[in-house]
Parts: sequence; structure tokens; C-alpha cells
Amino acid sequence: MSDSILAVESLTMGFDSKDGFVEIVRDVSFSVRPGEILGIVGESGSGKSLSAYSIMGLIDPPGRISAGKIWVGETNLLDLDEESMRELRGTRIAMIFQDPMMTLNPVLRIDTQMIEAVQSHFNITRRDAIARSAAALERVGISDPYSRLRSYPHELSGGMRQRIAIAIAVLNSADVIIADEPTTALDVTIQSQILYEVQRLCAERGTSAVWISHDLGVVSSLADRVCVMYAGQIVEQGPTEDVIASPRHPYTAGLLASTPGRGTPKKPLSQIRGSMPTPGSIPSGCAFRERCDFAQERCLDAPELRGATGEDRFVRCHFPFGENGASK
Amino acid sequence: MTTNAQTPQRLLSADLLAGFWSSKVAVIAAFVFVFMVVLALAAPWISPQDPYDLSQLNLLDSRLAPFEKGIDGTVYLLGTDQQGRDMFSAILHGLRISLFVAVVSSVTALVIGTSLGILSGMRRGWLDTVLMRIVDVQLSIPAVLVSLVLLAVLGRGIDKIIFALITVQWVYFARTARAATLVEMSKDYVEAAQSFGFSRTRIMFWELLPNVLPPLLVVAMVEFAHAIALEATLSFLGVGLPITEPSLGLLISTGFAYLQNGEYWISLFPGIALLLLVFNLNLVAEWFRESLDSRRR
Amino acid sequence: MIFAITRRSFQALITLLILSLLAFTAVYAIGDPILLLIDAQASSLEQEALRTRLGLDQPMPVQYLYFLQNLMSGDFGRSFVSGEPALRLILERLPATLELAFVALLIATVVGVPLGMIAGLNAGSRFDRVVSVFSVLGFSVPSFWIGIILILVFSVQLGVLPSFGRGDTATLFGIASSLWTFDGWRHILLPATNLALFPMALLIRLARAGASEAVRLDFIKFARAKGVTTRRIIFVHLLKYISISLVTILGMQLGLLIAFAIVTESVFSWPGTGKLIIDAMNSLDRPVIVAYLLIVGCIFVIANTVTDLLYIVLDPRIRSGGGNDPR
Repeated sequence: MSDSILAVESLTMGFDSKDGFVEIVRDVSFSVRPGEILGIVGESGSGKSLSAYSIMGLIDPPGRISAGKIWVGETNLLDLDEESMRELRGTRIAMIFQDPMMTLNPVLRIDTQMIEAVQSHFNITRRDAIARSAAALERVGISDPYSRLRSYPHELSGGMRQRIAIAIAVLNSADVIIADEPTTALDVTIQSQILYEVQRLCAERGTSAVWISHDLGVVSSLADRVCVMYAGQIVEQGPTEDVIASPRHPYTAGLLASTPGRGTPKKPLSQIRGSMPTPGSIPSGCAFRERCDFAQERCLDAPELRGATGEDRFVRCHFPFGENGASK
Repeated sequence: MTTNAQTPQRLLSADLLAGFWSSKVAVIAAFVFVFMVVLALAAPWISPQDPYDLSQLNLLDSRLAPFEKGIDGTVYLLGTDQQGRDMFSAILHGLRISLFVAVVSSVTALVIGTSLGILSGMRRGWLDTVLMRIVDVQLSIPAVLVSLVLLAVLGRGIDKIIFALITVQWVYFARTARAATLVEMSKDYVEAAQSFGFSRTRIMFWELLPNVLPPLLVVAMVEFAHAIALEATLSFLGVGLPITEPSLGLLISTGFAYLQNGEYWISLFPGIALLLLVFNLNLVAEWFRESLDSRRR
Repeated sequence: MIFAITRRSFQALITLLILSLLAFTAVYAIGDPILLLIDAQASSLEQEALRTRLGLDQPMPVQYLYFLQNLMSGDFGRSFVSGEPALRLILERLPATLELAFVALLIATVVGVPLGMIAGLNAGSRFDRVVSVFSVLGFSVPSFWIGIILILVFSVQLGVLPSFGRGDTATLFGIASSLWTFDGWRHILLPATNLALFPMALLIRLARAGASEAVRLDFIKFARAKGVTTRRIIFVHLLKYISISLVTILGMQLGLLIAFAIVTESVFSWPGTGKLIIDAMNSLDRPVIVAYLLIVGCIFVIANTVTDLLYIVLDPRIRSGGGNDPR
């Protein structure tokens, strides 16, 4: 664990319902090294966002984490009480949310919302907190930070609000920033600006990031390594370039083939038939087998997440593509 | 659109009733309320004395505490009032009067308000504008004030208080019925009924009514309780029922004078009867409101 | 914004005019106060004389026009019973009622909002269910009965608080009020609590709904992700957010409370306008009833207008003219 700044170990999370405990995140493990950007890709409902909320300790009942460990440095977050967890949020791990229109409190000014983020952790004056906030705003490319500070959220555009949310995340120099689809709700041009800012911030300050997205394109342009999630599990993990170039799990391959702009121009996009099973109705054995073109009898047994020797790649499939020259 | 959305939903579908039985609060509340109604209906047969037959009263027995023995040896379960009247009997008869006033006024208000509300929602136009303006104005004024002014003008009497209650209540039914009608009108089945050439009246009664009933049911329960409470309040203030019609409110009002001496029972027990009636009915209504809301979602 | 204020004031004036017409016709159309005011043995000549003196012999529209004209000059007529100007009778009693309504609103807010918020934050819990049942109680049980129970418990059984009347008044900052004296507080506590129950139930319900909805919103989660303390999230983020809708309700409640005070004042013999109007109704004292309705109507309209303006001050989205939200 020593070389990673954040390590998730066998995390299982779900909801208590009338029919018992329904697992949504199932036995998920990954780690993030200092300065690294880890991408997590998956469709909506694959459990990627709830994995993020689990790390932040923001799971509300009836949701709960039933197993696993979340290491930040030498601390297991699941052992912490609420107050210690609060101290950690914003200083060690920070989070950016999906919809910038919803993440800032509409009835509080930007300065109020930034100052409190500083003063919740450090005993410094309001004046110093404002200076720090303005500096953070400048760092994410906002000009005239002092007048922005005096605005209310509704007076600013979506892109501006997301920049502010990022500024708040980096305000206290967190080690890891968890970004839950932060560009999905934005226009394409704004999206690339935000991506650029995050990339720059991480490079400049050695901050790590976990970037969650349903868009393999976005992740591939940003992340050093990528995890592909399906039905609450990680099905493939490895360096981004390798995974994109030669996907080993049929789901990853299908995802790549159905991403616009990757295939031959004008050739119809391929699709994965069917839809992802919902929590509680996941088939036994391989969760993907019902949609997989290559499923065989052996797929009725649940595959393990296996690593190939000498490579930083893992796949949860009995018949992976391209491993040791074998192929289907 | 699925066929499911087109068929009118049942007023009391099986799962709603099943849910009702599983809610302890709702079941107990409903049971207590029904029990009180049964007590009121059976009053002439189960009450120990006819509280308004003066020949049965003995002034020497006046203001006896609960369980005290009267001059002829009878035990007064809930004590007696200043005229030696058995409070238990008085409460049973008071319940009857209170319930009678509330039933008559609520049912009349329900019929008037619902008809006007559905008509207003179906026809729209000037009728809708005028009616809804009246409803808005009246809803912004507290019911106590409206009924007080009416009674100040009309004077006392059981017919007058019923009239005042109807005037206050019809707007709640009209508003609910209109809102529900507007929602239902936009659904496919009404259009389908119209395209089959059914007349407006037929649509109104046979197609719309069953669908606007669930929200109206909740309003009816709340308004019934409201009528009981309002009548009691007006009678307490001395502008409601005349002393010849001693409802619960009037009993509480007479007992209030003796409260300071510690003779609490003349006021307290009719009050508890009133509380049980109104509170339990509201609990049931609250449960229905929440269930209907959660089903709509 | 100035346009909005002007338009609202104009609406308010129209409302008051309609109210005056309604009050006048309702109260003057039926019932003959002469029979009440004069000795039954009095001759018809004496009756006529009194009728002329009070202006009751004129046709109704004329009476209404006289009435409107007099209103403009602040003359609401004289009480048939005491002969005093109706307006003065009302205004003399108004401070006591306002004081009662104000304290009731204070109690309702201080108790109701936190209860509702805590219930909403723990939706479905035992506490939540108890609070919900309590709010149904506050809505449904006639307030006069609760008043009686308060008297029974606190003044008859425990003997700690007086059950009737207003306490000593004192003058501070030019305002004469019983709130400046200890005795005054002792007297106002029971009636104010009684009057507070209905708005309290309302506030509980609204605060509960607001809190249980808002807590699911992203901005609350984001505030938690920043490491802000729970206390600050509740008292700054959540409270400010839901207070906007609560203020609207509070403003309208002030008007309503003055009307509801009729009941409470009767139970606790509180010398305010509510008790006055009940007495006036029992003696068919028309000018006093009409004056009361108009004054209460005025307060009602003013309270609602002020509330609307307060809403603008509180909600930044409306304050800056609305409409420029990029969404």
C-alpha cells in the first residue's frame, strides 16, 4: 500500500431493502499512485458513482458498505468516526460532482461557500481565507476572482460553476480528487477546457485523481490507467493505452466499438445487445454472459479478476482476448 | 400509452386496503372513530339516563365528581354537571348532535362543491374564472372568521350553523374536484369517451367521478373532522348552537365556568370525546393522503 | 421592483374595497339592532328617532356611500352600545392582540422549524413519526380545547401560571407592552402557546418536507464533501435554503393569527380585538364588527405585501431580476 495514495480493497456496498441486502458495488479493488489519474468507466448503474461516494463516506441509509477497506495513506477510512472523516474530506480527498448547476448552494454567495471550505479545516481569518479562495479561482483559469467571489451561483454559467467546484476541491491541496462525471453536463468546448485544467492541476501539483465517466473517449484522453466497471464489478483494469489498443474483456471491446469516432468513418457503430442487469437481478456466473457473443458453458462459473504475469493488466473473463496470443 | 394508464384506477384497490391493515396507527385510529360513531348512534339505548328529561335530574346531585354516588345511590361514572345531569349520558347525546351537524353539512358541501368543481373543470371559461376567484378569496380568510360573520348576521340555530359550515366547506371540495378533473380531462380515456359520442353528463358522472374520488375522499374526511371542530368552536364561543341542542362544544363551554374550582370533569370529558373524534379521523385521512401521494409518484 | 410594489399596492386597495362592500352588506343587510338597543316598552316614535339618529333610515346604497366617505376621514362609525368611535375601540385593543400574535409566531418558529427539520433529516425514524402525529394534533384539535387543557394543567393543577387577562404593561422605546414586564410574560405564556399550535404544526410540516427534500440535493452532498460540519450544513445551508419558503408562510400566518386569536382571547379572557368582536357580535354592534373586519383585512393585506417583498430580499435568484439563470 505504501506506493499508492488511495487504495480500495474488496469494497462491497449496497442497500438494505425489504428483500434483504442488495449489492450494488461488488468486491471492487483499485489503487491510485501519487500524481496518477485513474479512470473508471462504466454505464450508468454500473456502481461507479456509488464507489466514489463510498470513498467519501457519503453513503446514506438505507445504503451501507458491507465489506472492504479504503486506505488513504496508512488510514483505513472505514475505521474512522464521523468527525475524523469530516476532517479528512476536503483536505486529503475531495470530490467534484456531475451537475455544476446543483452542486453549489443557490442561496449562498460563492465566497461564503469557499470560505467555509477553508475554515472548516484551518483556523485562519476570513481575510486569509478569501485570499486563498481567490488564488484557487485563478488557478482554475477564472479571471477577476474577487468579483466572482461576490456572485451568487445563478449569476454564473455552468462551465464557470464547475471551475469553481474544482477550485473548491483543490482549495485545501487534497491528495486525491474524485471527479464524478464532471463534464457530462457541459458543452463540448467547455468540457475540453475543464479537462485541460484538471490535467494541468494534477501535473503541476502532483495531485492524484479518480475520474469517473461513462465516456471512454474522455477517459482515454486523460487517465493514466483505467478500470472498466460492469454490474458493480471491475471487469478490466490496466494502463489506458494498452486497454484501448487491445481490450481483453468482451465488454470493453464492445464499449470501444460502440464509441463514436473510433471505428472507420461512416461504418455503422456496433452495439452491445441487451442492457445491463440491475442490482438484485444480476445473473449467476459471469455477469456479462447473457450479452456476450462468446459465452460458453464455463461462463456459468463466476470468473475471477486475473492478472497476466509480468503485466499491469487484469481481466475478469474465462476467455480473454489477446492474452498470450490466444484469441477467439 | 399502455392500457394500464387508460383504465380508471379503482377507488379502493386491494393493495391500498392491504396497506391500510398493515398500518397500526391508521387501523387503531379508524377503529376508535367508528367506535365513537357507534356509541353516538346507540346513545338512546345505552345511556344511563335521558339527560334532557328534567324529571330524571336531581339538583342535589349537581357537580358530583366521577365515580361519586348520588343521593339515590346511583354511581355517576364521569360525574355530573351543575344541574345534576350524568356527564356520560350528556356526552353520548352531545356526540349525536355534533355528528349530526357535521354529517349534514359535510355531505351537502361535498355534493355542492364537487358538482361545481367538476363542472368548472370541464367547462372552463367564465364560470371557472368566477368560481375559482370566489374559492381563492374564501380560502385566504380563516374559516372561523367567515363562519363567525355569517352567524353574527344569521343568528343562532342548528340550521344556521349548518348553513355557515356548508358555506365554509364547499370551497375545499370544489378546489379539489376541479384540480382532479383537470388532470383526468387530459388523460386519454376521457377523450376516448367523448369520441364515442357520450354526452358531457355521462362523462362527468360515469367516467370522471370514480377518478376524482380518491383525493375527494381525503378532503371529505378532513372536512368532516373540520366541521366537528368548527361547530364545537363556534358553540364554545356562544355563537353556535342554542342551549337546547347541547353539542360537545356547548358542554365544554358550560363546564369551562367550573374549571377554576377544580371541577374539571364537566369540561374535560366532553373535550376528550371531541379530541378522539377529530384527531383519529385526521390520522386516518393523513394515512390516506400519504398513500395516495406515494402511489402517484 | 418599484413597478411590482405599485401593482401590489393597487391590488391590495381593490381587495380592501371589495372587503368593505362585503362586510357592509353582510352585516347591515340583516338584523335590526334597534330592537336590541332600545327598551322593549319604548314607543315606535322613540324607535324612529333613534333610527334617524344612527342613519339607519337611509336606503342601503346611501348608507354604504356615507360609510365609505366616513372611512376616508377615519370615521368608522360609533359603537351602538358604548357610543365610542368604533375605530378607537379597535385600536385600543389592537396592541394586546398583536403582542399575542407576535409571541405565538415566535414560539411556533422557534419550536416548529427545528422539530420539522430534525424530523425531515431523519425521515421514517421513530422521532419523525412522533413529530408527524404531533403535527396532525396541532392541525385538527380545536384550539379552544387545548387552551382549556393548558389552563387545567398549568393554572388549576400546578398553579404556576395565571389563566386569564393580560399582565402589567410598561413603556419602553415608546411602545407600551406587557412584554417588558415579568408579570406580562407570565400572563402571555399560556395564551401564546395555545395560539402557536396551529402555525407550529404548519411549520413542522413545511420544514420537514423542505429538509427531507433538500438533504437529497447535490449541494448538501457537496458541502459534506468539503468537510463542512453537520451543524453548519443544517443551520446555514439547509436553514437558509428552506427559510425562503417558510418566510412566505410566516407572513401569511401573522394575518391569520389575528383572526384565530378570537378563540384564544375568549378562552384566556385576553383583552384584545378578538374578545371585542365576540362581544360585538353578541350585541349586534355593527360598526364595531365592520371596523374590525376592515382593520384585520388591512393587517392581512399589509402582512402579505411585506412578505412578498421580504421574499425578494431573501432569495438571490429573484432579487437579481430572475430570468437570467443560464438554465
